[in-house]
Amino acid sequence: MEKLIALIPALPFAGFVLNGLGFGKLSKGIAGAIGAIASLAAFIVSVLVLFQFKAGDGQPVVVNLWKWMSSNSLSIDFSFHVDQLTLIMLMVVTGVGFLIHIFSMGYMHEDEGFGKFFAFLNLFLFSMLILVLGGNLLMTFIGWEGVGLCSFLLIGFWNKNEAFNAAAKKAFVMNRIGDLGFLIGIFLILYRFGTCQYAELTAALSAVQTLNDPYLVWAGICFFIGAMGKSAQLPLFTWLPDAMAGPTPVSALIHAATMVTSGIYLVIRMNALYATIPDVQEFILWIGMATALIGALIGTSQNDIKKVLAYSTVSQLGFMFVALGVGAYTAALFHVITHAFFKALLFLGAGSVIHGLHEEQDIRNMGGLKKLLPITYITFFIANLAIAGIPPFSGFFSKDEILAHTFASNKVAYVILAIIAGITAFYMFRLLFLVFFNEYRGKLKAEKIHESPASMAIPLIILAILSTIGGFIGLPEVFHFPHLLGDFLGPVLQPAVNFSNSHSLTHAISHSDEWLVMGISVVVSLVGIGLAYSLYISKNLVPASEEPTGFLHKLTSNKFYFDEIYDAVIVKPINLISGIFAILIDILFINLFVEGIGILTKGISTALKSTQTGRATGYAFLMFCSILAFAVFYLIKVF
Amino acid sequence: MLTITLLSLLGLILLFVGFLNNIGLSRTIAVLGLVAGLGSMLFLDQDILTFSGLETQLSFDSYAIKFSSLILFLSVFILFLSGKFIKKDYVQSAEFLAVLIFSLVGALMLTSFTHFITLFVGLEILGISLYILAGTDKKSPGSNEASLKYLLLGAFATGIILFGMALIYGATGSLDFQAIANLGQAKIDSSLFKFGLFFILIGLLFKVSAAPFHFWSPDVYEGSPNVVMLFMSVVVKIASFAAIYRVFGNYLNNYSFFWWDIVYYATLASLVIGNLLALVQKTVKRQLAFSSISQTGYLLFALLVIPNDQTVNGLVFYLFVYGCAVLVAFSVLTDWFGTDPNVKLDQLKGASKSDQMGSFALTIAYLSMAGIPLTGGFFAKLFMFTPAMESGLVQLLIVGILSSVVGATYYLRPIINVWFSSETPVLEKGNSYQWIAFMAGTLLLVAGVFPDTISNLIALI
Repeated sequence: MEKLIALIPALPFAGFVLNGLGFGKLSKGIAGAIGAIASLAAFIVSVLVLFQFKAGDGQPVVVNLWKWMSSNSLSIDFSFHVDQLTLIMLMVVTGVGFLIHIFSMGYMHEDEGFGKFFAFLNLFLFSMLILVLGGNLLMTFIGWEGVGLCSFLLIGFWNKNEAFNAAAKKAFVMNRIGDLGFLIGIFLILYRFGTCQYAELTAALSAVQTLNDPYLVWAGICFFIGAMGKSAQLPLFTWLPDAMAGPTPVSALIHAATMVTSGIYLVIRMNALYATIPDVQEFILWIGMATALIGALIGTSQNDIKKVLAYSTVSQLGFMFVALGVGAYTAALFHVITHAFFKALLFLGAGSVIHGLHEEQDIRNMGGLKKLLPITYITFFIANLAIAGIPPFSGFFSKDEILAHTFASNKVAYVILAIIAGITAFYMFRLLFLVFFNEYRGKLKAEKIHESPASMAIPLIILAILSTIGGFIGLPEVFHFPHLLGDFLGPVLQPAVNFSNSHSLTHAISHSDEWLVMGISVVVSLVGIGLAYSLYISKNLVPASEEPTGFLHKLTSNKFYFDEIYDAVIVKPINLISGIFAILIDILFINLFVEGIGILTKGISTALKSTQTGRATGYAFLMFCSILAFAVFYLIKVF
Repeated sequence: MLTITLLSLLGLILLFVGFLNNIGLSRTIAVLGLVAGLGSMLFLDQDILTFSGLETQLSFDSYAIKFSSLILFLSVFILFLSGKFIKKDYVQSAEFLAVLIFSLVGALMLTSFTHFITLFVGLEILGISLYILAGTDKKSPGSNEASLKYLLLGAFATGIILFGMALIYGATGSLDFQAIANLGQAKIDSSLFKFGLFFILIGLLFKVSAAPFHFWSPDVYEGSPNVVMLFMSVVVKIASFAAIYRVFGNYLNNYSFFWWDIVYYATLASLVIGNLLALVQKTVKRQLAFSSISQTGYLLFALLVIPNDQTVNGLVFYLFVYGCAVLVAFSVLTDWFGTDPNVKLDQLKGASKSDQMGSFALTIAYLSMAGIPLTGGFFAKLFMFTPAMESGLVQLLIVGILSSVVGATYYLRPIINVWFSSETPVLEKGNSYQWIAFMAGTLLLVAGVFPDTISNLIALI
């Protein structure tokens, strides 16, 4: 099994190397095939590992490849850690990754950077696999940085467009802020426990019995800051909507299904830590809540099909952090999985629409596509039902589990969250109605609008099936079916459960409450859908193209002015400071001092150069002088 | 003794094969013979073959085998690289190859002597062969000049060493190192002995081209044919370091009170002078010549710290990495410019456009010489610096690190020229030695990523 595990990240890496070296030489067909086969192979190997793991005793498998670095007391291996959590992430990353590779072969077909695109995509897959397979915090950090880099490269993939480059840069900088937090967290952990190997760390953390140990609180906050950056939480979320500048498959893979969920992965991975610091959990809960609310509100007034989905992703990630905040790690991971299905599907559907309409992204210029793009329409509809939380689609179960756990631990939070769920249903169906229903409002002739090729349609269908049935891996207790995901994940979450039990921090949910929560969430979703129906079908409203009026509308369509606030509070002052430093450091220090040293060095060198006359007699004389000097020194020293 | 005998026979055979006037055949025999020599060095007991009287004067202990194997390993590739040069019609290929092999006999003696006589004979065999090799490009005035200059200044140093030997013999009545290592207090206090030690040290510092006794080396390096310069900066460097460390790090370490300061100041001078002068050079070879002086400075660290196996292994690691880097540089240069002995740094401009692979290898080589992480050079320097730090040589370390910074600036120049220039270079489109560059470049990366593997291998020999 060890060899198989090491093979998983190696496969996409090989794909990256082949496509990277062969860029410009390989034909598009071959480049695409290499990328897709690499990801498919990684998926197959992951499945094999899953089966072998299930046949084993359920203990984590640690693969030590080699000693990476060591100093006196610290030794860090280049190792992989495979447990239930890793396996689930492997499935999601390689499975969804493969589907998106297939989709990209159709979507990017006309692009001149086709081979480069697949090289980057495979590199991303490699980094993401390192992130989830990493056997210690530093390995995870390598992957963490790698996915950040790939995200940067792929957002700015069409790098001839300045705005896209700016978006890529923004994503990179925001992520770097988070990364700093993550790194400090690693240092704190290393300092406290002397190890960052997950197996040892979990054991060490399980021994902690104090509640809210200040040291661990800081470590927990630092890791959460890392998660904020990568998973686009308030206040570091503004990069994600801008990241939609990248090709749509990238948005689906990186900015919906996989990379942005790595923050949730990190928190679940560190559940032994977070269980001991409920104060930080509370903090996570409210940050997640605020993000979910703001994302949902902004989503109601966006007119770019991908921007709506981007804010929806921000909002859904907020849901997951709420789950983490109330200690419902299983629910969070459950939502990661179902969200990967339906949000990837939504993005790919959006990609299919954009492709069919020849790069049109404004929903005001769409409408009536139901008949023209039937496959896209049906799959998009299914995804909508899933995200809105209509039973029995997958999103219902995962969202319901989050709501139920929130209900059990914090009633206020529950009420807000339920309202957000309603808003979600509203803005998603607003999108659906505006794109697919009523009459076509754009300028293209109907015969120019085409349904996507099979390579794009098949992934849509597969993801639609998954979005429909994906929820059955985690049925609520009242149905008396086993919670497959919860049972499988159990051993990973044992430290957190043990701690919560011993400190009586758990909240039980009664069956009647479960029914109540389920009922409310269905009703709320239906209200949201009904509202959207009455506005955009019955009244046939289309968002006006002129300036929005009304306070709330203005606020949401301008994204709560986050970008403007950041610009005024952070970007401008930093630019000013760097301007001052440019003068102080660059001109005064570098130019005068450093270049001065350079000039001095060169002067000495030139002077020394004159000793190299090229005349043997001169050399003999110089050497004689040297010997004499040393001899005098020797005489004084030794005699 | 086995390998030395083998190589001596190989040299003689090559002289006879020369009658056939078949350069390819001669070179094949030389390469095969060297590989056999390397094999016998690594896997056979050297004492199978001994000559009475010599067995007490040469000892192929693990120290000698480490250095000898390295010398033979790198020499194989140097022989390959000599191909282009010895095909020139006025170069006597058979003699060239034979002398090269003879010089290796001297080099091996320098790694294994236990007696002043064998040290001296080794020095002379190597030295005289080199005086000849330096002048093999007979039609080039530079080569002739280099040969003569080397002879004159080399004789100067030889005289000094011989003088030192005479003094020591006078003081102790013995030329055996083991005997000299364990002297009574009275003999140590004699001024004859002290001066003897001094002159031996100065002579050997000359041989390793440490500043301020380095004046000969840039001129000789520059004037010699490329492949001979490669040979001098790799094989001769290894042999002379094996010799100086064997004398002072091993046998005469008891007397470090006398010689330590001289080595210390020579180290400082080599670091500073080598790096500063490399900064203002315009040709590739001259830059490498001065860089070689600064590398001598780093290598001398080994003499200043407490001698143990780790220091020896660090020394071998350093020489291995440095040898590989120079090998890459010269094989790429030979591919690009043939045997042209005066390639200017500016001529490298834009070379990546016509040979990416070679440019890549060259980049790795220079990065390694500059000591950038992920190349072997980083760990080579680290293995030199760490014992120095443990011995508390802080000032020396500061100078060492500062001069690495200066070093980085001039090592980066060829890299910048190769990659970041819009000019189109005039290159010979040969890639017959690309495999050497590729192999040695790979070794540099391996040494940079898995340094432990290489050091374990060295420790194993």
